Amino acid sequence: MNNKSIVGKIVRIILCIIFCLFAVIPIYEALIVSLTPYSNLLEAQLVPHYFELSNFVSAFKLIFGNVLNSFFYACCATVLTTLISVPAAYVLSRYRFKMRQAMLFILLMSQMMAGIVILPTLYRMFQSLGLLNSRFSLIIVLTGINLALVVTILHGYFSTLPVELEEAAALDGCSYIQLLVRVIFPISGPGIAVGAIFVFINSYNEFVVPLFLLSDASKYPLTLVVYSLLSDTTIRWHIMAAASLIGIIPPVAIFTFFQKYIIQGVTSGAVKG
Amino acid sequence: MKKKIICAILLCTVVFSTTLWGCGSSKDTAADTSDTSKKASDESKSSTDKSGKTKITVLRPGDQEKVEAFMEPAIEQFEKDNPDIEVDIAYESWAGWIQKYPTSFEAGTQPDVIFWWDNKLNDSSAKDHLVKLDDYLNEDFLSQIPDSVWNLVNTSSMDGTYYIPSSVDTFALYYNKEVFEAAGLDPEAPPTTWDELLEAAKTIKEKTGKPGIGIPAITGSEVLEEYIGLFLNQSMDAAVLDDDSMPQFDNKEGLEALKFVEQLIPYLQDSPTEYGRGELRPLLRDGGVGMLIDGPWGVAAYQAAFGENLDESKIGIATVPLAPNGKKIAWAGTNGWIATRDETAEASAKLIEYLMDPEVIIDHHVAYGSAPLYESEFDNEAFQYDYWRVFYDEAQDYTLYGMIGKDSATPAAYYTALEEVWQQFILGQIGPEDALKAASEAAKGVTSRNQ
Amino acid sequence: MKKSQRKRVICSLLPLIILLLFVYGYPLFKVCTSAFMGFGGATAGQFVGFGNFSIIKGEIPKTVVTTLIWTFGSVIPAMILGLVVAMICNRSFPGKKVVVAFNLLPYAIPLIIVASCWRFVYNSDFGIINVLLKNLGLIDEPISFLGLDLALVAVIVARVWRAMPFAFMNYYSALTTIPAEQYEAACIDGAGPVQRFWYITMPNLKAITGSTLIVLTVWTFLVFDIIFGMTGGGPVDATKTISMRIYQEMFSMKNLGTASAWSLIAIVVLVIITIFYWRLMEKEDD
Repeated sequence: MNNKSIVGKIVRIILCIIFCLFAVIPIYEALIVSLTPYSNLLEAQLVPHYFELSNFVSAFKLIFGNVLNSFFYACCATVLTTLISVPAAYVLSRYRFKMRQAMLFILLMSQMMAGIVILPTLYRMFQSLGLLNSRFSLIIVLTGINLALVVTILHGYFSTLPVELEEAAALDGCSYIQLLVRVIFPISGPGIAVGAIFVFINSYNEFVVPLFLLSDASKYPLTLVVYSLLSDTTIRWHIMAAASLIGIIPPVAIFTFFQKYIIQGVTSGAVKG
Repeated sequence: MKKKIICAILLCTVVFSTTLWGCGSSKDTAADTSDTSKKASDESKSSTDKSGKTKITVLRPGDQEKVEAFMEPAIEQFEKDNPDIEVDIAYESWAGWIQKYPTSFEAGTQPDVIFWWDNKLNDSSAKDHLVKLDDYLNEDFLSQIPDSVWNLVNTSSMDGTYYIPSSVDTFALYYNKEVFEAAGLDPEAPPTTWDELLEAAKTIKEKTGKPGIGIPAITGSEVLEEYIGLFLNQSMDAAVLDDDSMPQFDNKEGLEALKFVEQLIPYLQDSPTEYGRGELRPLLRDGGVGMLIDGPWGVAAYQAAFGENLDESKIGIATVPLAPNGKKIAWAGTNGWIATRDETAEASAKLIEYLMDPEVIIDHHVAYGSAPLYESEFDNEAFQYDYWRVFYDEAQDYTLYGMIGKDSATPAAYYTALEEVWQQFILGQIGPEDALKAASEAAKGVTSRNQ
Repeated sequence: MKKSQRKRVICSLLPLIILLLFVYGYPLFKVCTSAFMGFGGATAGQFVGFGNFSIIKGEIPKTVVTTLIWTFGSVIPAMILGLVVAMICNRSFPGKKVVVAFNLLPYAIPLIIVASCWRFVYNSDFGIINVLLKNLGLIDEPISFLGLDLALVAVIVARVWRAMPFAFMNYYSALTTIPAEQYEAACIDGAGPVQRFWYITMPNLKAITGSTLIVLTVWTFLVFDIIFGMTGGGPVDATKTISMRIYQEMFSMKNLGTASAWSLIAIVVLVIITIFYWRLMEKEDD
């Protein structure tokens, strides 16, 4: 081995370490804080000096209901989005019709539109409809903002599928509904999976939409509880850290488990950064 | 690959079935809540029909542990006394509630009884919901509340009683006696005038290297405006905004106040905008800062460390130093109870009367660290210490100027607009003259929006 | 198209269209009208022309500059860092999986928790950066990361942390599509690593760089959670981006008109970028 490649190797190792450190530092710091008892919080620690697991117990008690809420909203949004997206993406990729390009542009546009821009007027609209502070309206909005993403992912996926199967089904005299249920849904499993994972994580992570729409603490998703901990007069850093760590377990677990799908989804050019 | 696809499909199935289960179990909640204000109030009506009980919700914002401590036993007793009323307790942090109350009122999901601010009675989100309580309360009850307290509450624009003040919080000077000793100052002689305050802050900084005085200047809460407001009030002997919500500090006295604060800047803690009141208290407790100007809410933080009797601890509490004009003037804020729904007004009023009962009020003040409101509260063991007198006396013999925005439909807007200017000033970005001009323009800007 | 097909298309797209109209269409229409309506005081409910814009005009230059610094200050470093990590991971070495997993991790974390975690890191008492610098003897007084001078940089770093994995993923999978023959041919021609990077890697990454840049820009432009959770827009107006202004006008000032005026400014920018992106994608498809 020559000198050059050794230097290259060392540089690479150093860079790897730096990047990994950068990636985990906030999580590591949260871990330190979450293990510290309240009275010792202001102490400087590079490695954890304490092991106060009771912080996690109190944080868990505090946020358990909200994690369930988050799960509930995310699951509902995932299912609804999938049900609406599959037929839409199917016709968009299989039929050529006049408004198709316009439809695709609108989808792209809605993906680009961040919640904060429309939320003030959406909020007033929901207020006049009497739909504020309802789980139902939150789920509808979460579905709406994720639709474009899933349609785009599925649209790309359907384009890669051969048409023969559908043609065979049509020859067998399948109705459209039958075609969708018996043929399209089963073969689009991987595409649906990619979309579903993203909708789930996006909805679980959503903060701005529930911030505007919900006002009843019992309906809060996890993200809003973390914010209320963040905005306390006397910030309980240790509880906040523990709650943050508990709260990131579901998305991180899903993410690690389905890493391949996620990279696939991201690189299909359809996903927010 | 195949395995992963199976996993994915499995996940989907799980997701789907949980959702079905979730939908099933939460069906009725979703149906109920999808309609708001009207339904929400209907709901409380209908719940009366079903069980013969009136259901109400009460909210006292603040750190949950403290609120729980007095609220839960009080409500239990109240429900025993009034078997026809069922009370739910809601919890919410102050900052969280400040962010959320507009949505809460506009969605019609606000609690029936709320611990409110005197300056937000005209707030456009809340105003139309407030219930006129005169018809429900008995008269003696209202007359118990001292005049000094009523003076703080803006009643001029209202045709009745919509708000029952339950606590008056004034500022006091907290100081750390050990820091004073280390700086060669007399720990039993805290500063009583602005000049002495400045002198003490300077001495502490020079002798110990520690910041002489702390200032809460964090973004997004109302603390900095209240802090600067104290000095403006003292110097001008007037409120920050007049009855028409126009600034009245752009004058000689206002400038004098800001010039004084400017002199304090070198002796403040570093990076003031990272500190709220809650972050400063541990500093004073641990001797990281010499003095603080804070409300009675701070007491609990020191009691947690040094026991109930702070008179014997290293934390000293004194009245706020007087301005050169020698007048006794203090900033004060009141909080009190409002009822927000006509349908439950009777039950709400009963609850408010109960919460204003001297015994309950003592528990409330003790648990949350509020100064005594009635002279009679001093009979209680918890208030036997001298430091409580400081807060009480201030509310009795000082002229009080309360929070800004009383007459405005958007009180929070003044805090937001002024906060930017005061932060710039505290950070040394602009001098007192410019700050005064900019603050005046900012306040006028907010007022002109609503004209 | 046959009638039955048309029916099929319409039925399939209808739920999608209704939902999009409900969640985006009508609110966007209302933004456009509310931006020119009065909401406070005497002009409430009236057409005020550019009245709302003139109320906020003093804040527009500073806010737009802050938003631009925030956007490009975080997008460009995120992309460069993402590219570097992707280049490192482009060949196999022991521990590669760990490096990939670690560098993807931030992408899964909710933005508001990103904010809370970075607040720990920046804390002047126990924050790890200050502790480390103090232990190394580099500073005596803690650095005030969320103070006036550094707040914008501090939130940008948090955003870079969260956005980098996205750039990394895009570059990572784009790099695998570059044919190995191109490198081999270059090696035979005697091209060094730097030359290979400039003449082979970069041209191959042009397309992905363009789309990543646009998507990240659009999504960073209006990020609300990180700033809201870390600084609340302060100190003074150091971190008040357009999204913070929208929130402030809506809830502190209670003025839907000025909030919509800010939204409209943002929407115009978004539409322009989107059209640009659309063109770019069409070109790629050709």
